[in-house]
Amino acid sequence: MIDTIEIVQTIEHLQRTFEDLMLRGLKAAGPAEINTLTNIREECQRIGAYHLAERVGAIVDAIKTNGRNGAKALLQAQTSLGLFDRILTLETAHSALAASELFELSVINDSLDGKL
Amino acid sequence: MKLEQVDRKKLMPLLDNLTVAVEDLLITGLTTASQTTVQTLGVTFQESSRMGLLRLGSTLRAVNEEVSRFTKNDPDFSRKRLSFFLNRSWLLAVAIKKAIEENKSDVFERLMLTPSLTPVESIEAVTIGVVKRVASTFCAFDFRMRTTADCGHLKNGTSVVWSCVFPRSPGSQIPPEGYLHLPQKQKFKSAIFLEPKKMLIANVNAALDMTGVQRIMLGETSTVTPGDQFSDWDSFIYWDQQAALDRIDNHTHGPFDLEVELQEEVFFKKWTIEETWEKEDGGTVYPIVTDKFRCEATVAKKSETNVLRKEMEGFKDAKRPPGALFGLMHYEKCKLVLQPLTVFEKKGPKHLMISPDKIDPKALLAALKF
Repeated sequence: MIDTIEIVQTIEHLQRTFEDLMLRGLKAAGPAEINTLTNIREECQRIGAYHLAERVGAIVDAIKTNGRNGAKALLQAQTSLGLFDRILTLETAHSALAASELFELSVINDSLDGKL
Repeated sequence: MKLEQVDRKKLMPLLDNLTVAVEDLLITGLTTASQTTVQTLGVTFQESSRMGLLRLGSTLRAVNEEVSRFTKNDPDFSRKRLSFFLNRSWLLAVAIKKAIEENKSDVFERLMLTPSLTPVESIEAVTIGVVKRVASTFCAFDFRMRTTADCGHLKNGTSVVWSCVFPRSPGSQIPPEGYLHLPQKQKFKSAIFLEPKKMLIANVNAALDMTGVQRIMLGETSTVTPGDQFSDWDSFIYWDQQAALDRIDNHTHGPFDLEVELQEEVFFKKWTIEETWEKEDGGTVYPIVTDKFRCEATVAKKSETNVLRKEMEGFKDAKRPPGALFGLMHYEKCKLVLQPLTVFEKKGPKHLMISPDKIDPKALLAALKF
C-alpha cells in the first residue's frame, strides 16, 4: 500500500514544478524540465494517479513540439492536480475523523461494560 | 447576477482576451511577461468588476497584486498564490464562456457565486473568536460569533461572522488592533466586539457562506450596540464531529474547491501541544493533540503573529491544562490544520490573535494624521 505522505510529496513536487514553469515560462523549458516532468509522470502512474500522469504527459509533448497548447496543458494539469489533492485530502480527513469517533465510541462501550 | 443580464457582446471578447493573456504569461514566463499581457490582466480586472463579475474580478485582483509584488521584488510575493489565482482566473474565464455559449443559467449562477441575502431585523450575539489578517496595504478582522437568542430565521446558537477591513499605508506603525478603535460608518467602534458582552446588531443582511456560517453584512441603517455582560460560555463548548463527517460525505468535488471549503469551527475541551518544529519556508508548527485527534497549527514568523506565538509558547510550557480551545479547522495536504483563536479561561474568552496592549487614542489619531 502506498503511503499518504509519499503521495503528498509527489503532489508538492509537481506543484513546485508547475510554479517554476509558470515563472520561467514554457518557452524556456528544456531537457531538464522534460526530465523532471517525465519522472513525475512515472511517479503519478506508480501511485495510481493515471489521469494526472496523462495531463503531465501532455505538457511534456507540448514542450517538445514548442506548441502554444503547452499553456493550456499546464493549466489543465494544474486543475487536475488541485482536484486530486482535494479528493485525497478529504478522504484522509474523513478517515482521521471517523477513526477518532470509533475510538470514542469504543471507550464509551468499554466504560459501560465495566472494563474501565 | 443572472445570465440574462450579461452583455454578451462585451463580455465574450473580454473572456477571450483574458484566456489569451494568461496563456501568454505561461508561455513567456512572468520574468519576461510583456507589458501588454500585464495591462490586459489589469484591464480585465477593472472591466469584469464593472460588469458585475465580482468573483472573477476579485480573482484577477489577487493575480495583479502578486504580479505587482513580483515586479517590485516585494518579499511578500508568493509564487504559490500567483499560480493558484492565475489558474483560477483562466478556469473561471473558460467556464463562464462555456456557460454563456451553452445558455446554462444554473452553471453561470454557480460560477458567479453571488450570495443570496436575507434581511434580519435584529441579532443578539457574542464573540467567541477573532481572526486577524495583516497585509502591507490592509488589515482585516473576522469576528466569529454565536447568537444568544432566536433572531428571525437564525436560531439561538447559530454561527455568525462579521468582517471588517481597514486600508493601511505600507510601513504603517499603527498596530493592527489600533484600527478597531476607528469609528465605523454606523457610528460604533469595531473594538466593542472584543468585549465579553452580548452585541445587539439591527437591520442587517445575512448570507449563508460556503462553510455553513451566516455572514452578516451591515448597511447604512444598521446599528450595533453592546448589551449585557455574557458569562454562559460553557454552553458553546461543543463540536458536532459527526456533522463534520457528513459534510465531507455530502461534498461534491469540483475544480473550484478551496482548502477552506469545509472549514469547521471546532472546540476542544482537552488538548496539549507536542514537540514543535520549524518549517522550511518559515513558521513554527505546533502539533496539537486533542481529546479526539491530532491536528497542526502553523504560526508564521511575522510581527502580526507574535501575540499568537507568545500564547502558544506559554501553553506549551503550562503545568496545568489551559481552558477549552476554539479555532477554525480545515483540511490541507492530507492534514487537519487548525487556526487557534480562543482559549476559554474561568474569567471568559482570551482571544489569542489579539494583542491585549492598550491603544492610546491620542497616539492613534496622531499616527493617522487627521
